[in-house]
Amino acid sequence: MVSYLVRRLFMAIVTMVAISVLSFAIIQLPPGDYITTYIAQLAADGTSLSDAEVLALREQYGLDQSFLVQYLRWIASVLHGDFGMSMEWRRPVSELIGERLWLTMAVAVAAILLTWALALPIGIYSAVRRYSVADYAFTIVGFIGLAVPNFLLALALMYFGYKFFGINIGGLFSPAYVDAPWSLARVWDLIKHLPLPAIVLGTAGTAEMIRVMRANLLDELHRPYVKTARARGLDERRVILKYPVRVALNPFVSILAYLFPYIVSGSIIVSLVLGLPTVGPLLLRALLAQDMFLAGAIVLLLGIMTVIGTFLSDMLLLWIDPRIRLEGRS
Amino acid sequence: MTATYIETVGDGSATESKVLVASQWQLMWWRFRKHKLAMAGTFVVAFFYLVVIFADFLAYSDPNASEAYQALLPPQPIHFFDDGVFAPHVLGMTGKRDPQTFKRVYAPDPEKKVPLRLFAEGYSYKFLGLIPTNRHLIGPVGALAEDTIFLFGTDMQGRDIWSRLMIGTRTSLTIGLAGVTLSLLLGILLGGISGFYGGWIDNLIQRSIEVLKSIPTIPLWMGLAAAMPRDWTVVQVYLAITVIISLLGWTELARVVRGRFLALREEDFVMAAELAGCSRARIIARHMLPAFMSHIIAAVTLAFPAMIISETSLSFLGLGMRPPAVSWGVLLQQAQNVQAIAISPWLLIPAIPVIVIILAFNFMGDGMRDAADPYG
Amino acid sequence: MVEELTVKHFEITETARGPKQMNGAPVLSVRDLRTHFFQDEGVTKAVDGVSFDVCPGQTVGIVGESGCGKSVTSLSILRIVDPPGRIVSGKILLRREGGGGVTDIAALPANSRALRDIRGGEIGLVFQEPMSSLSPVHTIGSQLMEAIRLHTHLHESAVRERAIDMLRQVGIPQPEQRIDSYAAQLSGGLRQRAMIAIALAGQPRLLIADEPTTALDVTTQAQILELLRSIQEETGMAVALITHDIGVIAEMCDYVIIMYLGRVVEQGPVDQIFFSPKHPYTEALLRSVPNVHSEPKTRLPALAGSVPHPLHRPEGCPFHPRCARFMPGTCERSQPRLTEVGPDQRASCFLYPGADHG
Repeated sequence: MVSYLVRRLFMAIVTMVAISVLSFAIIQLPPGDYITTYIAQLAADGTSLSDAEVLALREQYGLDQSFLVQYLRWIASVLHGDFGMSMEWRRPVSELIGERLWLTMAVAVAAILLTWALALPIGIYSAVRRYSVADYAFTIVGFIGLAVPNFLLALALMYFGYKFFGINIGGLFSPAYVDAPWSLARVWDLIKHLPLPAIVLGTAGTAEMIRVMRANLLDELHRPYVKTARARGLDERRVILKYPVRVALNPFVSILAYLFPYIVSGSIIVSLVLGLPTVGPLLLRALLAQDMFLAGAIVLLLGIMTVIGTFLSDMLLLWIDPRIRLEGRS
Repeated sequence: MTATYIETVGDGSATESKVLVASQWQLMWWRFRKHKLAMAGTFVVAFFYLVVIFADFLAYSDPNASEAYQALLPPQPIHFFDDGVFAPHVLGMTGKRDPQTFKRVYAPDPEKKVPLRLFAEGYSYKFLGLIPTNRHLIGPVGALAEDTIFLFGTDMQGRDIWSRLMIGTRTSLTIGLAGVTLSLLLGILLGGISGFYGGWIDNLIQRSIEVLKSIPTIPLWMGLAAAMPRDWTVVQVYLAITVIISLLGWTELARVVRGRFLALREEDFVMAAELAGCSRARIIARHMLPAFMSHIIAAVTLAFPAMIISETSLSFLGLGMRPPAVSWGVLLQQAQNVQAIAISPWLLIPAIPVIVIILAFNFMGDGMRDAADPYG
Repeated sequence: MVEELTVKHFEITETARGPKQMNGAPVLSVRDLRTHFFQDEGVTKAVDGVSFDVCPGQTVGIVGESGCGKSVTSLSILRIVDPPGRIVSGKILLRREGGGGVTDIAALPANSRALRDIRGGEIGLVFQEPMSSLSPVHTIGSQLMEAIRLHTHLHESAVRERAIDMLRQVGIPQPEQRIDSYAAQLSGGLRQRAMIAIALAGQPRLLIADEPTTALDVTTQAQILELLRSIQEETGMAVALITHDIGVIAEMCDYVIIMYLGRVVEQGPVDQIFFSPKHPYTEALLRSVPNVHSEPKTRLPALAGSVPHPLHRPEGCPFHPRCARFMPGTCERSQPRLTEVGPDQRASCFLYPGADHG
């Protein structure tokens, strides 16, 4: 168990480092650098800098250094909570991201909870009642869920909402709460707005998880240990829920770890379509405007969020599967 | 199911001896054929790639020709009979301003008939990229400027959606193909190394895959895509997008290749080949590759949908293919605004092929995966 | 797939095991049981008209090559055959204790209370593979205590005590610690002991052991068999022992049932079966096992051919294609019936008068 924990923790740290390097690479990728952009901005305002001033600025920001040194400088300031300045907004990046990051998390967690709440019972039902009408129906719905890219699903839902109910679904708050300070009422308003994005984001994952659960459970249903549980006189419903479902839960939970980055990814596009105040629209805008410190910070924070989510689902797996806990003990 | 084939051969009836001598590929084909949805999916995929090959022929007007005064025209259905006589035509549209809303409303005008014919003349292109021609599958009979047809309506710039859809299909599906090919190369290379050598190399590659899989990909690819210089040509962007989306798909393929390699390494026939003194390269090429080709093909088929969704999503966001290039994602950019869709629902038509082809690839891949192991 | 009949040295002497006292009416009477599997490719008649009795205190051995339907018979008795398998006809009569009458298990509603009380409470079941028969994610104790709770009315505080007691009874050392172990942490022999404890938790009157020693090494096999025997002596329960190991039969059983392709080909007291087998299949089966009297360094006669695929069952007597005493014109025409061929011994073969009646 300890070795598993250490290994997972190590992987999480390596992943975070990899993500931070990639995020910094994104900041560095576009031709030119921060100063070139800055000079261009100043020029647009009518000021120009002398070559000496430019050189001094470059030194100040360490832009004359190698990639590694620059990266280490950046990471050091990030660790102090300083993500740099947004060129476009002329405000500190951390200020811009603030609430949006938490809302992104809320949307992702809502989507994951929904995925679980739907996939688990449907997967179990489909496996136990294989080839029933409902099983076929779920299979078909699942296939469509897999096939419709979630931005299209969001578009379709918005279209139907607009066409048949005349309402503009989207956003995470009612107009009255958009700029209101946090209060219980505002949280409740948020909760009321979460299901729609959760459905849009969760559909593909739910379809996939139903397939996984169904396949795993079908593998387990005919194992001898299920027969022995029946043979000792246990009620059929409890036989299924206590034994094969419990075993089939392991692959189900381990896939959850990969579901998290997938959903965070998807939330970017869905937020754009549904107009959610998450980091998604901010990232797109930053990328299109080549506001690279902002973009890099968002990619980094999303990555770190994902690593934490993945780590937590690994811990869940540890809790659920005694075989991992026993590793290296027996 | 096939297990019984093998077990019943002892009885020596005609069909069973056929099974006994059938090659691996024949067995797979027989099994695949049984999978109705997979067969349907295969036909759909084949149909779509025919569209790719004949895209220019199927289009009838220049995909980038825009007429501002013909913006957002609704689709024109084909009427096959005119007063009981076979004379295919569409009805021209007349725009009127709604006196209340002041919006321009188009209605079919029974007086303005635009006759259609097969192999009509239109814009010039090279058939199959070789033969210069200006013939298209269908088109208006005359070459009059005002004789236009818009089977799927027009977009905001007054461009014909049908023609753009044909060209967009070509772009999106070839990007998918190229992306899958690239990630297949990466997957086979890295997965193969991982599976064949094992040890620390395997460990390193596996851990890297784990790291890659736990990074949220879309923001990362968005970042990469956004870094493409604005002045790149369509071809450069096309290649860059292909590379970007294939960086997304190789991990799963590598996993499959490695898994097969590990399984096969333990097989007796590989051991036998080794004892017979075969070289490593020969063992891989002659003994192992044929044994897992089928699994690779199945995994490749299942990798297509992710490629297509990636391209469509990136282009939809304005970070992938850019105008004047036409792809499904570029077409769907027009449908970003709900009000626009509500007024002109035909802007969502390009979503249909996206969904259909993804379903088709999924069904086909599922069938292939089931058939991949005909002796299992 | 092809599992050879275990070849093991054994010796039967006149003094080995005399037939045990039959204590009254049978606990279990199976009558003309048929369990078929309905698949796309056709119907597999895994069990096709099996009848036998098990009396209290008796050990009945059910022998046959793999695929002969012996395991399906045991699953059918508890009604735990998985689909597409189904009991299509026949009776499984369980005689209740103290004049409680007779229950036809085959006629009970699925998953009914009455059926569940019989599973584990009246009939216990031990499987071949102790590893896969125990849940990989539950402790031995949790499965054992579950069985105890289902079939006794012990107070919750006493359940764990009882479980530890039972583990001790089946010879598991340090039961206080082992109770919280997972199957993967125990050796094969200990796992099978735990399985036996679980099967015995409801104090059943009949224990069905489906190849309980096949997956174990030879020394452990002997220990497990010894355990079963001592438990039987203490409790007086009946045991149905399913095996393909003739040696185990000789060591353990009072009465033997020999199955081939879903049918009983011969049955009788163990000595009669070993010393005067009547069915050609039984003869062949016994000849293929070495014993101390056989000539050294000679080739053992093996059974010709292999068990046909169940979907392609031969017409007539299912054994005729492999039979050394095949009678053309008779054996492939119709199925022989079980007929008396000795005291309490029956065989289904046209060599004996009466097999073709009906």
